[in-house]
Amino acid sequence: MSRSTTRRGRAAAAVISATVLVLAGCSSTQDDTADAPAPVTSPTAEPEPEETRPPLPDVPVQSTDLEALAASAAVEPTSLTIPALDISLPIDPVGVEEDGQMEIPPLAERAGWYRYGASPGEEDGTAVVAAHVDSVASAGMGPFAKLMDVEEGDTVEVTLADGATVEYSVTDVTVLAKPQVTWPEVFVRDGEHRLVLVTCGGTFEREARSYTDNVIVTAVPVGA
Amino acid sequence: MRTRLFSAGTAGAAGLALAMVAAAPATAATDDMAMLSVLHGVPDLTVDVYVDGELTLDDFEPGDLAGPLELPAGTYSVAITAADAADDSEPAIGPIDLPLEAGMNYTAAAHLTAEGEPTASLFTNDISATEAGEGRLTVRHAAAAPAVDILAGEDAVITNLSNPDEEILNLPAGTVPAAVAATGTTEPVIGPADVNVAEGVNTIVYAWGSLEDDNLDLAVQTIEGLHSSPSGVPSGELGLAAGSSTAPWLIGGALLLAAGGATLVVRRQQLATANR
Repeated sequence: MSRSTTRRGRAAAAVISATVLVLAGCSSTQDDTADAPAPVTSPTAEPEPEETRPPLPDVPVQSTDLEALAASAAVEPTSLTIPALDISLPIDPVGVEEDGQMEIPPLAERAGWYRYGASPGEEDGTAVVAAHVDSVASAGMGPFAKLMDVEEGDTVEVTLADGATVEYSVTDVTVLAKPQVTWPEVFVRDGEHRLVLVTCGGTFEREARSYTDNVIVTAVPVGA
Repeated sequence: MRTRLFSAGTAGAAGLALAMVAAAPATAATDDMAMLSVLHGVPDLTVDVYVDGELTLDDFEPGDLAGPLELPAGTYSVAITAADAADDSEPAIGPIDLPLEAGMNYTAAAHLTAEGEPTASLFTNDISATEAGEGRLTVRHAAAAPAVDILAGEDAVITNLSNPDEEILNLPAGTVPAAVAATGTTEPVIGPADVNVAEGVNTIVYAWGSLEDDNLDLAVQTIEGLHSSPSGVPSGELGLAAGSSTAPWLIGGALLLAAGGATLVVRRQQLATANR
């Protein structure tokens, strides 16, 4: 608190220029005095520089009722097809394993949608869908073994729980060594919407029981 | 994480243009900015809020939350008056100083002390990243009531929480059936109520109101965008789709069946992968 004086002065200087920006949405000027300038009568009116009664800032106010906190109801994806390669598999919502990695459905014939990120068809953020390239539970390979053969421009169709279909066009197919993948750039919650499909590739390290690479296919909404 | 406030001199510079401007819905403060929300947790008292002498919140209702506002770091003087006051010369609470540091996220709460007197506290909100799959639950006692326990179902997950303290739990994302009881007891004085602890979100629950006046309630504030990404996508278990150097450890017929597909995969992998 001892440094308050200088910091406040700097803060004041910084905000003055922004003052005129806050008029829109002000609903009233209260308690008008006789010599005050006319109150702003329209939310869109050009503000006059005022000296006696500055307008209220446009501070968002919200209720804190618990009911307003209901879980967001994204429409979940239920299946995915890539017609060009005859890839088709149902989708389960998944989360995170104890070790911090993405949960993947045990069967390679099913894909997992990362339920904490965007859902296909949303306006913002990345929807991530992953499937095992092969798995113990399936005793063999799954449809995503062909993911590396996807080409730019291929169509990906995702069906949602409400029956709607969202169509994407592949823009990028990348194979990266796992240590080189920057996952925060894949699991993005904001920005332009896209669909990212992930599976494994590269060579298989027996001791680690793990592939060396990830295959990452990026697709963007058709018509967006 | 909590700072008890106290009265501190007169309001700020006269003639200062509005201090609380540039409202921004951002979560994390940037560089030299701080984020501030204001909670009204005093029952039955509609108020006006003055910041550095300027009317900033008009007719602020109990249970409402204002902000978040992105403000230049610095110390702001806040006075809270009855809603019909002409100015901030006779505040009901304060004036109080809010020292806001750059990069931090705060909630200033007007609330009752344990004894029922109006006061204000400046809480520092934990905006550190949450683990992938987890959410954060912050519980703050801002009510005129003795120490409480927070129950999740039958279990006390927080014990002996006193006004104006807080407890923070990092939990797997999901719904918590929460209730508030006098410490050492299991009879709810608030709730039980389902609290959605969303992934990557700090869900801040305030117990506010007055036990004696029978108007205890919960207020909820959320701060989003704290999520982390999973650390990897482990999406293969057998090596059947592996590229070169798979031959030495063939494990039976499954791979032979898959050989056709594997050939394609090898070709593509050699094209696309950096040499390893």
